[in-house]
Amino acid sequence: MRDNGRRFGVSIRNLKFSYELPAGKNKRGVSSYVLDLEELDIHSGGCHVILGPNGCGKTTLLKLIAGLITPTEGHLEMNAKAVLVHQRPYLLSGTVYHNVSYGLRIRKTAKHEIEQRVLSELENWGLLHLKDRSTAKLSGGEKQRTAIARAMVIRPDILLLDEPTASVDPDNISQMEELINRILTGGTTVILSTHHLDFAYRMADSIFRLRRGRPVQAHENILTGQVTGREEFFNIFETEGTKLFCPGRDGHFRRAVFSENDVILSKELVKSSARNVLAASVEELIPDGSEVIVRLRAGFSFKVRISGASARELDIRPGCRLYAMLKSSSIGLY
Amino acid sequence: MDSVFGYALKLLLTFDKETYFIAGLSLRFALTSTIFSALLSLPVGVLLGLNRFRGRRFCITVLNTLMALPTVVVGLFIYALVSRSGPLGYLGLLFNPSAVIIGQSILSFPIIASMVNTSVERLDGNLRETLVTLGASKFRIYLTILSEARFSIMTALLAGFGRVIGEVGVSMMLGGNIRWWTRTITTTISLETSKGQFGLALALGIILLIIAFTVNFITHWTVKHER
Repeated sequence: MRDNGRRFGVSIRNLKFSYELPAGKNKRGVSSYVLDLEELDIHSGGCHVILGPNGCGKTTLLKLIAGLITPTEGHLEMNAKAVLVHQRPYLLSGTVYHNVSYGLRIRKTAKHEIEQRVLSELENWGLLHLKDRSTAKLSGGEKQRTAIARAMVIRPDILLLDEPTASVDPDNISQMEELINRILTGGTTVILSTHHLDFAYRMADSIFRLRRGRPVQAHENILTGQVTGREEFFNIFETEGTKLFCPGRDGHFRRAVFSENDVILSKELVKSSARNVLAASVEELIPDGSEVIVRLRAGFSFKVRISGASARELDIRPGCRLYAMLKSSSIGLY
Repeated sequence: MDSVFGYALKLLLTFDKETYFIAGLSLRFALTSTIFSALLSLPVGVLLGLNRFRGRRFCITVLNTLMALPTVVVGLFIYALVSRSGPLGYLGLLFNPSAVIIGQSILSFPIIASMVNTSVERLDGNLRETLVTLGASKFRIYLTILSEARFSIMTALLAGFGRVIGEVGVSMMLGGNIRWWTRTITTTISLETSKGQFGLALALGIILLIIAFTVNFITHWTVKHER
């Protein structure tokens, strides 16, 4: 995780939110909570992705974090300055410069400082040549970048981006990713919502899944690293000093993702067709109904879901050593 | 009839003192009442457009109903208030320019407030949230929304002005049609026509038409600019 050194975070406890009044029930007596979260902590630094289908409550959650709406029930604590950029941002009538300088003008910042900061932000976002252009004449992508520059110029601790790729054509998504990475390098924490799985995997340091306003457990392991070489038909993906055999697709990848259900654990080294056999030590066992989530470390940390019966038969305990087998085709590169 | 037209033109072209005084007075009443009305109707329109509260729909319905209120009814209510025996009779407002301005302000209030409400409502829903998230104070948000809706607000003000410049009921009942004091374009037209003297009435009618054309031209221009 990219750490910016600044300590703050978002802490949510037993939060419920309803747009209807009186809260909780709609006219037919059905629960009208669009968001119902027991616990969520988002730490400072890095990119945190809220992932889910349209209408699952992503935008509502971002608005709650931004302080634009207040929880109907429960608590949301945040000790940071957060700015939200909407999916379809509203740009004030006037020029790009007029828009980007807005946040500084209302803070009565000195004129020369406004000019300096706005011009620098416009340059960062490739908008300098458009500074005197009317916002009515901008393309979708230019509008999006203007809105982000307008948010970034006031130096927020957290930048909240609602579906940042929605108004960007597929060819320019990588450009958007590059720009978000630049924000992260600058030390600002990014929380973004998306329903694009690929985009989420490429950007996220952590993923929070939502479905109909409720959290959904994530079953994947997301590893950050890079492809360091090729062997036969495989890409070699290196993360925290450990090498993984991955599918041999071409491209620039920084994330490897595999499901916690795709890993086989064994006590002894067995000959198998799996290309990845990792000697790992058990860090933690988390019971989950009739199953157990085993947290392991083999250079990098990952989790594996097995049945309670398997855990008992293998006598898995914290500290014991196991072999984890993972087919290369089970790993997705992003 | 030719001689009536000729007389009307003569009044206009020779800059007849009384004709232009009446026109000037009408403009002064209409402008002043529009400004006074705007002081209250703008905030009311913006607040109605921005906030969702219980009773909001009722307020909008009341405003829409008041828009269609006959001018003589408004005149009647104000008359009852400011006549000697009325609760505000001691102020001595009746048959004074201030009574006309009060009446016209009330007349233009619902039309301006309702149109401003609609234009603010029509603004993108993300605008207010954008301003809040960028750290704008409530007052700054109000100012920025007014600025963003400026063309629609201009149209609303022109509509309010148009409503009062052409009204006769309030001016007649509250102003009393007193020469060189409260006599406006419409009350003069009404009086002169009843006397069978069409010359001055026609001259003032032409001025009213020019004003109406100018207001419509500006409205058209602002609407075009808004787009």
